[in-house]
Amino acid sequence: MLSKEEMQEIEVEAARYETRQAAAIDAMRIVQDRRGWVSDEAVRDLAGFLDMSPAELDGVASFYNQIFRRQVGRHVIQVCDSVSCWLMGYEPLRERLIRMLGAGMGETTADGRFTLLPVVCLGACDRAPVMLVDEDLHTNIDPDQLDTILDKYR
Amino acid sequence: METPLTANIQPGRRPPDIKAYRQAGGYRALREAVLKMRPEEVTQAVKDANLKGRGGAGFDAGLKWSFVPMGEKAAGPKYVAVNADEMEPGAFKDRLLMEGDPHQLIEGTALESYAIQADVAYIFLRREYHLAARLLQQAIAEAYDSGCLGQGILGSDYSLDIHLHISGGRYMSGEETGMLNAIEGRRANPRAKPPYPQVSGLWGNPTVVNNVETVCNLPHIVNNGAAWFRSLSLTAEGGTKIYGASGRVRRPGTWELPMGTPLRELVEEHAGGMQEGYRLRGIIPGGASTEFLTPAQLDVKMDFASVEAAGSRLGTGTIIVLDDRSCPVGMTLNLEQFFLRESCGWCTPCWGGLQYAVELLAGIEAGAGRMEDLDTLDSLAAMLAPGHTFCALAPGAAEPLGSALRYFREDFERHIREQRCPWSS
Amino acid sequence: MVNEKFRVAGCQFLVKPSFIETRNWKLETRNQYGMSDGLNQKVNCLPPVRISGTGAPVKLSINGREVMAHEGDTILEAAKSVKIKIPYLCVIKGLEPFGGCRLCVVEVEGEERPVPSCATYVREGMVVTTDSEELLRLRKTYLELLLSDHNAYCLPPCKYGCPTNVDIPAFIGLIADGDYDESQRVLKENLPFPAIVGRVCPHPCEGVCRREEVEEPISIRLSHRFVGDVAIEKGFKPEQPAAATGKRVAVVGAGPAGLANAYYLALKGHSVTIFEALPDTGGMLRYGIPEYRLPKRVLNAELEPLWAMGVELKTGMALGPDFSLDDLLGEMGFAAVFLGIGAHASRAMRVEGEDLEGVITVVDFLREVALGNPPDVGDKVAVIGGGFSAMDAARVSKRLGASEVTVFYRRTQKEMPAHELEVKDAMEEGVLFSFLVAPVRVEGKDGRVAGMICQKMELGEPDASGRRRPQPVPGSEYLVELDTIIPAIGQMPKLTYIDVKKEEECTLFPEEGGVTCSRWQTIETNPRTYQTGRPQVFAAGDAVSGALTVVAAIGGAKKAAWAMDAFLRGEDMSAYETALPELEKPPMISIPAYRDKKEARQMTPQLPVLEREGNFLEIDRGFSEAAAGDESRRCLQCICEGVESCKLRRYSIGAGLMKEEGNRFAGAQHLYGRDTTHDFIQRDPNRCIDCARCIRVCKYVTGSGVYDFTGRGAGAIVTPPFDRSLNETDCVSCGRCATLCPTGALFMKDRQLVNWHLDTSRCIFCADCVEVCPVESLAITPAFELATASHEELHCNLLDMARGPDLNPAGSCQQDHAPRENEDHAAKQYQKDVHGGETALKREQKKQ
Repeated sequence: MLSKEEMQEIEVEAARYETRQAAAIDAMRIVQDRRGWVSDEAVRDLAGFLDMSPAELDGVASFYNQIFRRQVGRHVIQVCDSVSCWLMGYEPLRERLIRMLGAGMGETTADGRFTLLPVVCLGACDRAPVMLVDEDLHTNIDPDQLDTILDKYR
Repeated sequence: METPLTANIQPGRRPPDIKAYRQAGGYRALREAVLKMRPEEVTQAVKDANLKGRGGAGFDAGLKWSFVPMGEKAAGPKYVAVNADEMEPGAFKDRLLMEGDPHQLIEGTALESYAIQADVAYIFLRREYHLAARLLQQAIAEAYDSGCLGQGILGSDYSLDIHLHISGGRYMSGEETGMLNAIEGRRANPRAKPPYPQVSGLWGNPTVVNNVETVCNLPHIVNNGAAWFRSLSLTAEGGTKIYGASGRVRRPGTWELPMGTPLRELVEEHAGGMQEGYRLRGIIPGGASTEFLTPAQLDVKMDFASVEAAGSRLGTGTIIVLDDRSCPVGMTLNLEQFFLRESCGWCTPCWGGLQYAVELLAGIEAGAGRMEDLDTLDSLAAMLAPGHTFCALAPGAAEPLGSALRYFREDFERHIREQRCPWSS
Repeated sequence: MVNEKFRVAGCQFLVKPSFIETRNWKLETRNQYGMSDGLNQKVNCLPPVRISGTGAPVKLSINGREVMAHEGDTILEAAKSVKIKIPYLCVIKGLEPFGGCRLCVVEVEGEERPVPSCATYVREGMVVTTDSEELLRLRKTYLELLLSDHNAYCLPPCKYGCPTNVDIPAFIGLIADGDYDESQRVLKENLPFPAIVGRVCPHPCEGVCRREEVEEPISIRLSHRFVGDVAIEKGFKPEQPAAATGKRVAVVGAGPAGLANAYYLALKGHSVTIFEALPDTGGMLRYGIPEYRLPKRVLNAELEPLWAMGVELKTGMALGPDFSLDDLLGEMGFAAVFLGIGAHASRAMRVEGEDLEGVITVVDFLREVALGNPPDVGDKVAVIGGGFSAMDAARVSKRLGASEVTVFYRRTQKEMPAHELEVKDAMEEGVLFSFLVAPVRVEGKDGRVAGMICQKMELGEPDASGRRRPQPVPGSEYLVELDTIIPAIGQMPKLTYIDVKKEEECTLFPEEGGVTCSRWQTIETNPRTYQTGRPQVFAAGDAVSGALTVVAAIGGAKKAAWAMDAFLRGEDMSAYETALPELEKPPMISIPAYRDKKEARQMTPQLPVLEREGNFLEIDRGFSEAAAGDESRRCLQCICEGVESCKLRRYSIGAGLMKEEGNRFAGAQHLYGRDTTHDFIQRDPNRCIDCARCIRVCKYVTGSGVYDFTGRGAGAIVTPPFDRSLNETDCVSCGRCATLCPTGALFMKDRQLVNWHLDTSRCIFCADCVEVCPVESLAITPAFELATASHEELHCNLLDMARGPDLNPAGSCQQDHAPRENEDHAAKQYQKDVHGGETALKREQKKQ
């Protein structure tokens, strides 16, 4: 079930478009901001709320990278794996992260603290390699500093 | 040297709020336009300025607008969509403009909207730009509060709403018609053209899609005129350009420079040349979907026409530098993996061709390649060319692939001969 | 109203000619009745309906032809109107274009690049080309790409590689299921002796198996041997013959051909008598193939079903000396005769000394051994030839105690017709080989063989068979000392016999008899009816083809039996000849096999070489149950229910994308699970090509919207929401998705009404079922409105349907359908079974 607050927020977004369906991505963002991810049940509820079929909303949900259809950890680490970061040391960074967290790409740490994901170029190529932790952009990352960076996220 | 786009941008400082922006001359152009100019005059000014779309394709911005039905009989509503979905690998100029001077973008958007008499404008921002989202949200609110947006803008009878649409995150959303589908709450598959969005875009209504940097130029064109704008450039294409460089150069970064600045100047002067111990092997001039240029082509002028003449595309103008200590095959594989992952998986050549190209490249990089794979890759690169697919994604993937096969043939063959990647230790 | 029939794999269902109508009323109905249970949601969609052919007239040129079309028409529609065919996979007539498949690309003058004709609208004066070389090349490439990630394989090459066309994927799949009884039944539909053939077949099926593209072909031969052995061991019941027809048929020869022919004739209810010249059945199976390859115990056991069906056997009766064709068809009273006399005459070496004692032809040699009179071969034996029987003769000689057995072959090992495993076994058993050698003369001493002059050969230019022709090396003759020479250089039918009374050689088929023979000494038959020049006389097997394989003989004899059955039933054989679809090899298209999972081929235990000496124990011990199971699970199951209707296949054949040439883009592939949970629609995403027809027809026409794309990139695929079963969606089982699916990804299952489960809690009374019902068992009646209030109404009548047409003479949803009491009871019982006593709707009401 969608909460009252969620429905209100979605209604605000829906008012900006010509159809209710257009608020689909906003609606899933709203649900995800509150619940961390978008479950099958949430997709079903949202589809009903937005006059869509569950199939179509599931299709939309599974199309976009930033809509999490599986439970994620408390913090989401998104490491840029695109070309500039690749040139500037993405691979050692990734290996170090995987070793540190004990979780591979697309996996969540055992303690539920971090989920590790690859992400498309974060548009900070002059400061590569970069990664996003929740909403914070970290740039010019030296793998040796990862401890300090991640320490902030409990 | 004038740098109108970045005049208000000071690294490390909060961007100007509406007060500061206005003090620096902001919203003057919008006031001028909505009160004193007819919409057609704005379009004409942009046409005269020879403003080429900065999203990558370099299509004439004013010409694009002129396809929108105008006048009493034109069916409403009309829309503007600003493409702030900067997801092309190696492109990082729009982030600068949005985080550095959000009001410039809002004013530009309002000007464009006025020119086509749009009712609503959406700024289509990629999800990962959280700071830009906060700043734009705030700037839009300020603009509404001060009468620069909403009902009767700045005392005129023109009304406009600007909404920030935060994307679900997908490279395909940056494709013009894919973006329309994304805003409508669908999978961002491309649409058939014609009908072109200027005639039938969002919900079947006329819609113009322009890139952030394109839009940011508009206030300055209206303020200073087309002649001034053209004079900023070193070539026929008007204005300045935000150039950037990433890779193993001494000073990676972004710079606003006259349109047509030579590539050599970018690499050697602004970026400070290669880092100690690295040699230049090739340059991708404007984001992942453009062809490699070789060190021999450093003297090319970085505008749309000149780079095209050199066999590539200016694209976003943010160059990616390949050094001699990075594997060209690995780099090509990385680029193709990106395109495959970000493909919408809709039209046959794209999902079918790209996945096989990646498979072959991965095989070669892993030391399991065969010489005949190169022929297959050649034919795939040719097959993914423009016109064979629905949108520009697969052709975009074919450009670095085809040119890498051409310029780095010896490296590909060495991988196959030695059955390993010579760059991996 | 209902006039367009779609035939799909044995079941017919009907679809209205025009799909297009909006169904908003239905959606309202659903909400009104509060049945928004589970996934049911209101679908907000305005169908993007295309109406063509109504705009202002437009003139354009297509392939040089002037075409009149209408503004708003697409090029595809304009071309279609004048019967110019452009291939497409994703267009739905009446809906807006989709454009994903890109097969419909055409060239338009003035356009730089090809455009999709389904999404490009006609303009006045447009000049269109639909069939240029470049376009054909492009389309072929697109098809090749579609096939490169199409994890489904139309048809099994193995089935068409086998002369009997046995349904290999089916019987192997049944081994995987552990249903050996059904597996042997499937086998025996086409191949009556799986245990026998599973021991002696050179398995042409394995040579074409697609699994080879992954690692190694499936061990098909040993798999059917396994099933055959299990059938013998467990004593599975043989097939029951049809009711007796009273027709008597004579089968001449109890070899593979005769036995197979008798088997299938007996199954059809004919009364069969087999005449055999030798003392026992089997022909070459018993008297040619040695015990260590095919134990007589297996042979005897597998023939049991024949005798159980009442087939009569008369041994020691030879055509010619003992009876003639005229006798059979005349006083002996047979209505038809099958000649399966095999190829029992050995080809001569045509060298000097061939008739010396100690030279024994391979047929005679093996037969004498089987009869229990093994000839004394001495110490040194030469076998001449490189085929199967040469290997048999050599290995048997070794077992009879010869110390030095040498096979002389005039080509090299590579050209040997014998199977490489046979050669390997022979070598392991100590048989020597002398390649590139031919006999020139047999040397005798006291009328007995003493040796052989051999000549070295070298390979010259390839001959008609593609093998390089051996040529003698001048001056290379040498002598080999020998005790016995066994020529094994080919067999042919024996068409003469010695008439004891006349003391002269007579021909079996005198010219006036009607049966004609070729100059290769084989019987001539019609290739489709297997009839000889004498209408009542049929023939097949080695006697017709010359010496071939057991499986070829069985294949031919089986088809001959079917033709004879038609003849005996009095059918017009000339019509039969044209009507009988020759089981020709259908085209196999270039779909690369799914290669991500590699599993090695299962091996069978072999009798160790040291334990073979001096005995005839069977060497190959066959599969264990576990090994047979593992092997069967390797099978790619190259079958597709959609093969008849598949557009992808049709276009691929048209574009010449054949298996032999391979696929340039073989490699990147996906493996998905198949959803068979739905009662009517089977979904196999492995075959999906992302054309989105199902998505659009379901959403815009049916109004259910149960499908959409999920995922992205090459992983994008069409699924119901959350990739769950169709049962969990709003699917109304209208079948439009399956009808429109251009491949077999969505497919209507065979409708078995007895299994029809109706969830009334989800019925929305759309009446789609009424429209598509092939037998009009459902109808809209005046009680329909009532029915919406009482679910039992509809329920009852469906139960009737489930009982089948015989028990339900009224056969349709009629209100006043008596008797009611029993039905009510049945309905309640049914409901109890299905819902545990209450409908989902009632549960819903309770909750509220």
